[in-house]
Amino acid sequence: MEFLTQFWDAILKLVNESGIGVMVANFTSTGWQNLVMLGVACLLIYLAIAKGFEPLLLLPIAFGMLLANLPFMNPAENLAVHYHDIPGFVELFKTGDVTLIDMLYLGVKAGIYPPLIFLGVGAMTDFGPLIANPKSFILGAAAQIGIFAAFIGAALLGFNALEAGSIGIIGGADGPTAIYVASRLLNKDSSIQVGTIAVAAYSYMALVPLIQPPIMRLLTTKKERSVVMEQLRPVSKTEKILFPILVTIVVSLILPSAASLVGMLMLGNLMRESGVVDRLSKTAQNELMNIIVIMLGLSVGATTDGPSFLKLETLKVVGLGLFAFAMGTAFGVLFGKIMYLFTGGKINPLIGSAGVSAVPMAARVSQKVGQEENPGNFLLMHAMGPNVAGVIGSAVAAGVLLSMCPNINI
Amino acid sequence: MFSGISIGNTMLITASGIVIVFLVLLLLIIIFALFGLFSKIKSKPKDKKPAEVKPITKVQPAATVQNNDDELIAVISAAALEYLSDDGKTYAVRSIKRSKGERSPWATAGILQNNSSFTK
Repeated sequence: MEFLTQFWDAILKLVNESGIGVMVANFTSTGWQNLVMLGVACLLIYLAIAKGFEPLLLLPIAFGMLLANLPFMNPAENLAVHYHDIPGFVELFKTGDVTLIDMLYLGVKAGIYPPLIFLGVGAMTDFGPLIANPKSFILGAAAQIGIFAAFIGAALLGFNALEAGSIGIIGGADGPTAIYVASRLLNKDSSIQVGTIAVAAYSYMALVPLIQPPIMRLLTTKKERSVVMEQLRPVSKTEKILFPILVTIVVSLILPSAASLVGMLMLGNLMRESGVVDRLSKTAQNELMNIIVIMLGLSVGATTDGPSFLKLETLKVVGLGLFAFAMGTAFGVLFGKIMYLFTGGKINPLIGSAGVSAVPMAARVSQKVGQEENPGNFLLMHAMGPNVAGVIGSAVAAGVLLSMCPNINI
Repeated sequence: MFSGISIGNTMLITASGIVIVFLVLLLLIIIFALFGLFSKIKSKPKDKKPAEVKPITKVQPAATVQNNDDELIAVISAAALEYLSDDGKTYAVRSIKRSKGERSPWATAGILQNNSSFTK
């Protein structure tokens, strides 16, 4: 009889300490939030796998979200991230309660992963169309106005400078840049977390083919959309080698806070274009990038626990993210129209929308919308110029936000 | 509205950010437009030279070749065609020109060795 009692007590203890037991016991406080977040995580996994929504990042982010919302008896042992800044990590480390996710997130908080991803991005990017037509830089710059439009919107909605900067950078349409800025600006006192920014950024990047075309058609005429552009001049190997060196020097001398992102982007590109370190270039594009993407996605997703994600501020971020993308597209197209006028009709304004740095999706959207008017019109390579210029532009904008936002008192 | 950051600071960051982004990228436009100009100037003298594409039977020998040119052409053609034969396509050698020799054969061999796979 005593054995049965002890057996039953052991079973009860296991049930109470299980995730289900903890969730039920705390249902009115955190339990329902965990349940909702598990549902959101499953939805994002579905979108990543079945609908192809930026699966490389969204799948690990969604799974990190799922892991972070599995309830544990002792919250210190769960798989969410347990700190918000480096001093917080140091304190946690001293207690010895550091988990796998805590260690992986250190690379995000210390600003290591995003520049390493940019190393791979640079190794994969051909800046030839941009070098052949440097005017594309203007379109890359124009699309970054969306970042600052969202910044104003965030300020209007009551966010502080650090939060507004993190929200605004979503408009750069560049996942690593958004995570880099958010991880440097947001802290334990912020009303939003890095995971919220990442989920919004990658979700909207996947929706570029839906968001951009209506704005592009609204702001352009049929005649403008039908413009066939001249073939790009050939670009020499020397130019392609000098490009990353010069961009790094120019940008870093003017804006040192952008040096980390731009420098790694250009190092990757130099490795690709030099032709003498082919093995390093292949590693940067493949193995290194894949490893970093896994660690970044999983740990960033793990910051989206229920209490930090299920709040009104998240809805505001989602709305502002859409606003940022729309404004970036609109300003890119508007500057494209200005260039169309100044060049006597030689530039198709549709390539302006590719200034958002969702490479190569935004360039493909320009190509697709252009072909709707003129099936023989191939805008893809022309649109790649502003598209890759946008990557540099968003990194510069990130540098500005990192430099100015921490120094702003209300 | 503007409870987290004042309207003045919001406009300051917005205006500064837009101006700095445009200025940096304008500077890059100027630098790379000059690139384009230099490469146009550099390519102009070459345009004046006659095209060297000729059928194999009429290839003109390079000025520095001292030995039997027909034999050299045959050897180079055979080596090139052997290298390209794996894809099953037919090739014809139309022109053979001496390269500019920017890199010595030793340097090229070193690079090839560095880029070879670990597993070989």
